[in-house]
Amino acid sequence: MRSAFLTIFIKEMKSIIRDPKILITMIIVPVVLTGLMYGIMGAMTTQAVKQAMKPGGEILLVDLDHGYWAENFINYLTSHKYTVTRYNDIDSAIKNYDNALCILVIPKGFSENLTRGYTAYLQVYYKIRGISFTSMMMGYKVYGIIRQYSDMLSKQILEKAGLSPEYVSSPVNSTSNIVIGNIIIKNIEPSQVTGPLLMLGLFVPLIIGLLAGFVAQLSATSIAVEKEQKMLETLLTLPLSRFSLIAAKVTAAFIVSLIGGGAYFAIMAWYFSQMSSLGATNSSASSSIALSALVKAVGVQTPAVLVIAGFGTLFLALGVALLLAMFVDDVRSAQIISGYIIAPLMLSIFIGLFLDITSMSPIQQTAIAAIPFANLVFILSLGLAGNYTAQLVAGFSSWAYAIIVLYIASRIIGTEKIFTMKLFKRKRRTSLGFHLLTR
Amino acid sequence: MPTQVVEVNDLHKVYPGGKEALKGLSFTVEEGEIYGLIGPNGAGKTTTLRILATILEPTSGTARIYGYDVKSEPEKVRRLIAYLPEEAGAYKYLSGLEFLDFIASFYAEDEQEKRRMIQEAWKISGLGMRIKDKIKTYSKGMLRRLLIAKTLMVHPKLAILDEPTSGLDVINSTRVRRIIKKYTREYGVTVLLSSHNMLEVEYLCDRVGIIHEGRIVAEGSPAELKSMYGAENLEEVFAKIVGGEEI
Ligand SMILES: Nc1ncnc2c1ncn2[C@@H]1O[C@H](COP(=O)(O)OP(=O)(O)OP(=O)(O)O)[C@@H](O)[C@H]1O
Ligand SMILES: [Mg+2]
Repeated sequence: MRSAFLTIFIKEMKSIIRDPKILITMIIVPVVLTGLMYGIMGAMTTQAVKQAMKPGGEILLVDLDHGYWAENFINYLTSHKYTVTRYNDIDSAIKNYDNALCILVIPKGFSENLTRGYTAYLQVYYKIRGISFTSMMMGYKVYGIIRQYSDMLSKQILEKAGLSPEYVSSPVNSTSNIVIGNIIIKNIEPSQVTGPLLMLGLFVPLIIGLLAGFVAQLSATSIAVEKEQKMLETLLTLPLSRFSLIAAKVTAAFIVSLIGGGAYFAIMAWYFSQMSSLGATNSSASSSIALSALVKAVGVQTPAVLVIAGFGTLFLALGVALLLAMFVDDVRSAQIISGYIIAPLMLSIFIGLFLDITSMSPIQQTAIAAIPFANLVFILSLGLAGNYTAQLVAGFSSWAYAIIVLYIASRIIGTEKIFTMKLFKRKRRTSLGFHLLTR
Repeated sequence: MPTQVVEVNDLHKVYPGGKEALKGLSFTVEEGEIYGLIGPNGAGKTTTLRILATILEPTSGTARIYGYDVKSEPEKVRRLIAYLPEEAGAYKYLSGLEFLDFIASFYAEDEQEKRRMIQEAWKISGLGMRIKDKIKTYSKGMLRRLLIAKTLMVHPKLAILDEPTSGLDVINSTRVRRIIKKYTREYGVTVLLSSHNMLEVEYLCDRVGIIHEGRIVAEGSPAELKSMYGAENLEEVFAKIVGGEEI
């Protein structure tokens, strides 16, 4: 015969999928909204950057110089796909600004300065038309082309004088190397290692926090559903162990949370890969060297500790949610009350980000590693600092808390308290006001 | 000597808030009987049934079902009983059929027995093809019939029914009463129920316990009680004992 666990589990999945208060409100809507937000942001940024990188556009030009170099520069612009519209004075140019990139004024004496060996200035007038990302990126285009022209001239000037342009442009240069922990990685830009470091130090903790939020909310809801649909009393008299009842509910909550968390992860990964491909200059070969050196630096145990701490955190959030859910009567209150867990959880993760634990003594570090949720962000820095004791504390303290909380919860579930405990005793009116306040 | 299905002895229940709902309640229910607990609002009927159904724990005294103590051996008790709470609901987003399947899965030994249970419940409920609709579309009467059906289909040794017809109209109440009478006899189920409705109790119950302020104040068959108190019907007996004020 089908086990009690499986029976409850199947029923849970059916309710989660069919009850609009659960799947749609708690998972699908937030995921779709986030997806849309990132999608639009990504598309717009990509678009803006592409437009800004593509040469060309209209430049309104006021030539007050009328000399050789003014013409030379204008030709340079047109040969680089810019449309140049000439105006006699700046006022009429401003009147006709429309969709132009900018107004460029070549002041009197531009050519003369250049020929006599002085720096010649161009005046760029850029009209602020809003705060759209695209329009701001467009404004920078013109500086790029001026820089290019200037570089070209300086190269010619130096070659004429018989000097090496590379040498003159930077007689002193540097190569970048990185020390991380006690590992040295040569010829690598800091930006190449910050990616993976952010991943371990921020991205993974945030995803765990998000998952913990989902798990807490879904499991609190699944207990509250029984009360709201007046099934708890019946359920408690069925021949099934309370352990399999809770286990089945929690399993369903975990599976759905993982799917939801996976969706978020996919959205964010897609977004960041889009963003990084925009400015990508590093070869993947040097990145993989960086990555393997990085793993050596933070220690292979760091990702493992992170995973252990992650699961501990999930179970802790779950236990707290189960405990709180026993006090409430309906799904709304359950969702609000699990918000009380998620908000401080996320906050504590963010506070963790701003805490510089490297300047602390090892004992302080170890103490702070015992703070649940926040310790997820410390695991990486503790690995870099080589404080492995503190790292282990961070990895297992959440487990200790989780076991205590789950033990208390199981003690309550096994007794009549699951039925008699109440935090809000049918105070309909006050709880409505309360909802409005917390919305 | 007939087997005692329910044996309640000097039961006390004090709620966490300090309310003493049961103050030394004792009664027994014998195999095959339909026993009715009647009493005014707040008398302690639901509290008694919840203790027997292993949801609440007694503060003191004992309650046994087929000799199993509800406090120390609740798992054994749960295998013998089926409980219909006073304000029971069902999962709104399941169909009636899925709900029956859900409940039957906990009791049936194999697929065949499960199918037998569901078939029976379908018949008892009288829901016809509506059994395939979501429970949220059911009327109160339909829901109550579904719940009575889920309680009886498992052929429990003891069915505990808290106000089985509360909130139902006359037609639905009559229908539910007939179902209870017919199927409990047919399946040999012992029944412990609570009610406010004297007609219902006279029609259904072999024996009645009148409960007042947490104690049984009178007990016997409806006929015995009537002759004992020189009353025309149970309503009068009830009024005489509880001392309902004249209007
Ligand atoms: N969870 C609880 N916490 C505190 N007191 C309670 C609780 N449940 C019931 N009581 C109190 O216990 C007493 C008996 O209640 P119970 O529900 O058993 O009465 P009842 O006979 O079923 O009444 P009714 O006919 O209205 O259903 C009442 O005074 C009630 O207020
Ligand atoms: Mg009652």
